Amino acid sequence: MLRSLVFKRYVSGGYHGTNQVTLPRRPLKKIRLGKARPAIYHQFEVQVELSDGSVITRRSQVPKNEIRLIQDQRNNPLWNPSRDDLAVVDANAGGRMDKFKQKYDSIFSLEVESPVKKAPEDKKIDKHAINDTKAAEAVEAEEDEFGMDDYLSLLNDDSRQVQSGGKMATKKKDKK
Amino acid sequence: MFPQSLRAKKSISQPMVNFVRGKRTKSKGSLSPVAQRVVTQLSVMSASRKQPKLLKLSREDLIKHQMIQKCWSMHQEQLRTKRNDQLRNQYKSAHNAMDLLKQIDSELYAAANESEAGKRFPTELRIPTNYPPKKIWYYEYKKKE
Amino acid sequence: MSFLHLFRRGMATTAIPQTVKTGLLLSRIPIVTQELTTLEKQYYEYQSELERRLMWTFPQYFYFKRGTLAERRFLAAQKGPISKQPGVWFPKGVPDIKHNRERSQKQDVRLAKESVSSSSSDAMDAEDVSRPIVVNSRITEADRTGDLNSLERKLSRTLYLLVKHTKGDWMFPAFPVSLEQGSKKPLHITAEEGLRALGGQNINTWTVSNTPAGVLQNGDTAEFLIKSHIVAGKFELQKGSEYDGYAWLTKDEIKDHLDEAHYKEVDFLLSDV
Repeated sequence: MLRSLVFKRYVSGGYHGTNQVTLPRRPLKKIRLGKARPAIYHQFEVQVELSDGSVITRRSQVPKNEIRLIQDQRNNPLWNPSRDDLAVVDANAGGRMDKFKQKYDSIFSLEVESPVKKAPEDKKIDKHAINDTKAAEAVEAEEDEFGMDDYLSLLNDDSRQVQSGGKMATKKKDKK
Repeated sequence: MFPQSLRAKKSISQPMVNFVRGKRTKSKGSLSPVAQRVVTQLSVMSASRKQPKLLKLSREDLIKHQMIQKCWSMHQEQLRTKRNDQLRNQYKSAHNAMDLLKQIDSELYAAANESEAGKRFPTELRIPTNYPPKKIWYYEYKKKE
Repeated sequence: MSFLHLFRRGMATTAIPQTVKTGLLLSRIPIVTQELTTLEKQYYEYQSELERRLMWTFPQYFYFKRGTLAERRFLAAQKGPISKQPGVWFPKGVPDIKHNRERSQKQDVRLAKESVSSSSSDAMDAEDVSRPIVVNSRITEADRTGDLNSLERKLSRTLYLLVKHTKGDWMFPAFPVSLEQGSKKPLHITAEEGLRALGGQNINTWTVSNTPAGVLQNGDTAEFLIKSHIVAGKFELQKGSEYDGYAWLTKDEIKDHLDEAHYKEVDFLLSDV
């Protein structure tokens, strides 16, 4: 009876894989009333150089005096819409992902572009030539709705706050 | 002959030091490497054997410390009142301006009173850093659109 | 309080200003942190020393794997604590050492300088990711030459744009507002358009609010002040305007440039930092 219970509990328990580590039990140290002390970890003063050359000083537990950021907000065109002189820097340049992209980027870019180009062509057959441009715009708009641009537009400084849920729900219903 | 034999006798009589490894009594390093790593990681976060001694301030030092803290809190208090006064004045000033604008022109008043919900701070204005960037100001801005 | 307020409003109703202007408080926000006062500097130093005294021992065994070159380099750079000896008098108290740290003092961990490639050309250095950090000066060329037209002066302070009228007095740029039915525009739009007409199109600003932050009443004219920040670009005085000079000034300098009564009215609108 008891045995089966134990067995059942074991089965219903979590994953007992190789990651499970059992440490030797040690008696807990008692902290008497008023003897508790805050944890103050050892910290070093670090100079952090941002990508544009400005330096901030901060504290960190990692034994390092200097940290250099290669890619951050200050040289990202998304965060600097008014600047044209920014060169796009990739901190992972020369890594495995970059090598892979260099090799196969051309293939993927073709695949991505083809459906976009095809879509307006299909509509051409159905509709008149005058409606062509409108159809293409509509397709683009549809794609934009769920595309990356939608998230990027949230970063714009002139973007509006999303209204409370009510309006969104009615919109969806209208479409269907 | 005699001394030699004596020396030999002596060497025999000296106790021999035995350098033989005996059985281990302490089970050191019995932890698996995985468990050892976990112990190391946990010990980084634990205070045992890492905490320094408590500060023991003499009476004089304690008074000095209290003096410093009091001075600082007074300084903060002054800054706070100064800031609050400034904010209050700014609010009053905007209020007065709007009152006057209402009397002068109702349309301008309505435009100035329009809701700006969702207006965002530009991402390009930066938090001050300790040392300036290499290129401090971007002068070459060209009007967009 | 309320009586005073009523009184003021009563005054305003008796003489409604006929001409309306919008003034612009165009500011450049600070680029580097505020200069600390002596008190602040000393207090922060005191606090950080206290904290360093109370910090736990640096867990060196976690960051440097045993038997590696990095560990050896780190250990070589350390200055070990004084250990306890029998029969020796220690003037600073008997050492109490745990984990290679004197428990009654702060731990002074020295980090070994990472090997810096010496004797390489400057052009190589500028591209090298592991070059040592060299900070730029907080005092710029514009500070040294006293160039008031530069946006790169007084990096730790907020700068405000002041223009000099041809008659000789300094003021915040102000633009007339038309009250006619057809060509009415909100105050902040008038101010922004006026700024671009006065200082060229190549300037990017961000207006804080549609609402004026204050009003300067001078007889028959009322000047509503709109706050704005400069984001990028520069202000270049265009020819053919009623102004013949401009300057980017801190609050203290504005005090010297404006007359006293005028300054009193805008004092609290300007940032102390």
